[in-house]
Amino acid sequence: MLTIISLTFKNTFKDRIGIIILSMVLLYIIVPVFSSFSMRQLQEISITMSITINSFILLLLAIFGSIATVFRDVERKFVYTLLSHPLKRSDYFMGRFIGFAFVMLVVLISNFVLSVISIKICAAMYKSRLPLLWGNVAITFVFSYLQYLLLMAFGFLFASFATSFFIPFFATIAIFITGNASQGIYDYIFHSASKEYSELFKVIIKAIYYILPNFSSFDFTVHAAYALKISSNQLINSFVYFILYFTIVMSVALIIFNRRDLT
Amino acid sequence: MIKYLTFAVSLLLMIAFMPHFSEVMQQRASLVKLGFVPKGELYKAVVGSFRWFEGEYYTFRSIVYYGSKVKAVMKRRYNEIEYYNLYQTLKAAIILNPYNEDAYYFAQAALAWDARQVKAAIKLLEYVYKYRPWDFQIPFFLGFDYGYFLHDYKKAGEYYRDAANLTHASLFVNLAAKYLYEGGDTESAIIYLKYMISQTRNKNIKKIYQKRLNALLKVEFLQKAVEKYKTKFGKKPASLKELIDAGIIEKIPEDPYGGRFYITKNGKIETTSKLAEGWRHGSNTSNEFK
Amino acid sequence: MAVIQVMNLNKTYKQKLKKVTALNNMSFKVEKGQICGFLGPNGAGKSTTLKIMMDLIRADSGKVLINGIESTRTDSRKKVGFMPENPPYIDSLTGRELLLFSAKMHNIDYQKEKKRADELLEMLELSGSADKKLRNYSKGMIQRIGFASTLIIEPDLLILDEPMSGLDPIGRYKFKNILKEVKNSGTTIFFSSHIIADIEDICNSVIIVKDGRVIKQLTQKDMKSMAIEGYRILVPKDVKIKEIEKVERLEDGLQVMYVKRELLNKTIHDLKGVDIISIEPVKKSLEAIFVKEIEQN
Repeated sequence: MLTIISLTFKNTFKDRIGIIILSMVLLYIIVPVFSSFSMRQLQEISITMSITINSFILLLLAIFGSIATVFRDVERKFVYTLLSHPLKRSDYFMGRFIGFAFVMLVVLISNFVLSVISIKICAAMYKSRLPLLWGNVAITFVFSYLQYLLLMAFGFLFASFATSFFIPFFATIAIFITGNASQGIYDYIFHSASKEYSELFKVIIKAIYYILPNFSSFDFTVHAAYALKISSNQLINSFVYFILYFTIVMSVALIIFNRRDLT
Repeated sequence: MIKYLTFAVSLLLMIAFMPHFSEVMQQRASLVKLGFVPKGELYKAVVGSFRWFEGEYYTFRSIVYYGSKVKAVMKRRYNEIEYYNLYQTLKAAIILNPYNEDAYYFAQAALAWDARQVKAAIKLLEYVYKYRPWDFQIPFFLGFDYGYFLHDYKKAGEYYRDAANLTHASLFVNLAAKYLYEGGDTESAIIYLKYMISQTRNKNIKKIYQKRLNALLKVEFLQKAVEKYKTKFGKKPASLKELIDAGIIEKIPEDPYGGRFYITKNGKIETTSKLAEGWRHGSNTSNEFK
Repeated sequence: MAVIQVMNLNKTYKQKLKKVTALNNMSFKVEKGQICGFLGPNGAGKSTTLKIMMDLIRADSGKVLINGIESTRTDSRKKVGFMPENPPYIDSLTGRELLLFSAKMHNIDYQKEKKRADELLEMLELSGSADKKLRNYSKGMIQRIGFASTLIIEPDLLILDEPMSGLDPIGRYKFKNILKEVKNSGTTIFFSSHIIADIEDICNSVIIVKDGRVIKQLTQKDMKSMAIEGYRILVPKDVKIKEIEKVERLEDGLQVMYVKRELLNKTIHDLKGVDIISIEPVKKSLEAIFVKEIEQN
C-alpha cells in the first residue's frame, strides 16, 4: 500500500490536471487586491476570500481525485498491471485515496501559509474592529480539509463502479451541491416555515437530511471571518460525523470495488 | 469480511449519532451570518447562466437569515442585524435576477421600514420596475415609500396611479386620490401592512408586520377619537386624557413597542416609541446605503 | 505438481441485455518447468481465463489454483509475473521507474533491484531509453519493458497474454530465445497467442481452446511424437520400392520417398543395402492440428 501511496503522490505532481489545479494557488494574489476594494471590511473579506479560494482548490482536487486515480486506472486498464502484483484490491484502493489525500494536505498547507500572508497584508491596511483569531482560521482550514476528504470519498465511491467519466464527475458535483444545501433546506422547513408543510413531507425531508452528507457542519468560515466563538462541542460533533460518514462511504466503495470485474 | 463489518458497525453508530448531530447543528443555525456578498455586477459576469439561480439563492438566504432574527426585530434591537450585508445581498440578488419577486418584496419589507433605508429600497424597487413593468405591487410599494416615509406626495400619487392603472383596483384609485391633496399616512400604512401580511408566507416576518399593524390600528383608533372630539367640542383635545374625560374612549391603548401615545400640536397621534423608527436612531436621512 | 490448475471455470458476461458465455467449463493443468502455449481463435476465452488467474475478473463458478493457492488470494501471485495484452502501464513512469515499482511491489531488496533493473534493461536493449517516459515508447518497447518488469521479480511462473503481438520479426526471434533461457532457469511459462508459429517454435505443450472450453491438450510427448506423421527418405534415383506413396525425383540423381510413420520400419528393412542419404521426420504441423480441431468442434 505504501508503494501505491507514494506512486499516487508523485504522479499527481507530475500530472497535467495536478499542475493546473496546483497553479490555482496563484489565485491568492487577488486576495489583497480584491479586499482593498472594500471600505471597512478588509480583514473580514480577506479571511472569507482566502477560505473560499482554498475551498475551491480543494473542491477541484476532490472532484478529480477519483478520476485521476481509480477511474483512470480502470479506464486505461492500468489496474491489469497494478493488481497483478500481490496487492489486495482494498490496499490498492485505499493507497490511491491516501496518496491523493496527501496531495490535498500539501495543497492545504501551502494554501494556509498563503492565506496567512494575504490576511496579514489586508489586516495591516485597515484596522478591523474585530480581533483576528488565527485559531479559528486554522480550524476552518482543517475542517474544510475534512469536508473535501469526505467529498473525495464519494468520488471514489462513484469511481468504484463507474464505467463512464460522467458518473464520478457529475455525481461528485451533485453531492457537493446537495451536501451544502441540505442544512439550509432542513432549517427552512423545520423552523422558518414549519407550519406550511405536511408531516409526511417533513418525515421525507428528515430522512433525506439524515442520508445526505451535511457539508455545512464543516463550514466555520463566519467564525473565522467574524471572530465568533467555536464551541468544542461543535468541533467534536463535526469530527465524529466525519469519521462515521467517511467510514461508511469508504467501506461501501471498497465492497463494490472488491466485487467488480475489471474487464 | 472486515469491510462488511466496518460498514455495518459504522452504519449503526451513524444512526445512533445522527439525532445528536442534528441537534448540535441546530444550535449553530442560530448563528446564521449573512457575511459579505460580492458585487452583483461582478458576479453576474462570472456565473453566467447560473445567475438566475444564484439570485434566487441569495434572496432565499436573506429571508432565512431575517426570519432567524425575528426576535431582535420585534424587540427593536436593530443593531444585532447585519442590515448593510442584507442590503448588499439583496442588491446582488436583484442584479443577478431582477425578475425574482421575492427579492424586491423582501427588500421592501426589511429595508424600507425596519432599517429605514428607504432610499436604498426605492433604488432597488425602481431597478426592478424596469424589468417587471406589469407588476402593480412595485408602484404600490414605491408610492407607499414616497408618501409615508419621504412625504413626497406628488411622486407617491403618481406611483399609486400607476398601480391603479395596472390593476384597476379601487384601493389604489383611492390611495392615489388621497395622496394628491393630503397625506393619509396612517390609513395608507394600515392598507399597506394588511397587504404585506396577506402576501407574506414567512411566519416570522408576518409576526413583525402583525405587531406593527397592531400599533397602527391603535393610532388610527385614537385619531378617530380625536376627530370625534373635534366635531363634538369644536376644538382639538390638549391631551389624550381629555378623550377619556369626555367619554369618547375608555382608556388609552398600550403601544406594543412599549412607548406612550400623545397628541402633537396639530392634532396628530404619535408615540414616544416612534414605532416606525429604524435601526439607527435619528439618523434616517444621513448614512444611506450606497 | 501442476503449477496452474484450472478447474471448471464458467463465466458469462452481460453485454447490454444479451448474455455472452465467455468460459464454458474450462479445465486444464500446466506442469512445472514447461513453456505452455494457450492457443485459440479470437474470442475463445483466453484473456478471460488469464484475468481470472490474476483475479482481475471473478469466475461465476470454478476456481484456479496457482502453486496450490486459490487465485482469489493475493499470495497466489507472490512469484508470478503477468503481462497483459498490449500492456497498459502508467505512462508517466519511466522505464526504470516501472521496473523498480514492480520490484517494490514484490518486496525485493533495494540494492538488488537496482542492479537487476540495469541487467534487464541491458538484456532487452532498453538501456538507452531507460529514463524516458513510457508514453514515448513504441509498441515493441512497451512489450519489452513490460516483459522486463515481470522478470525483475524473479518469477516462478510467467503468465503472458499475447506477448509477441507488438514485436517485429527480429524482436520475436530474440524474445523467443529469452523465453527459452528463462525456462531453462526453472521458470514455468504460460502464454496465450493466436499465432501458431510462435507457439510451435518454443512450446513443450499446447492447450487449444474454442468457445470457452479446452478442445485439445497436447502434452510434451504428444508434441514430439504424435505430430510426426511420416518420414522423408532421400535415396539415389535408381532405387525402386513398392508401396511407396509418393516419390519425387530430384535433379542430381536423387529421389525423395515419403513413407507413413507406421511403415518406416518395413521400408528401412526393404531398403537393405541401399545407400540411404538421410531420413527426416515429417511433422504434421500444429497449424494442421489446430485447424482440424477447430473445424471438428
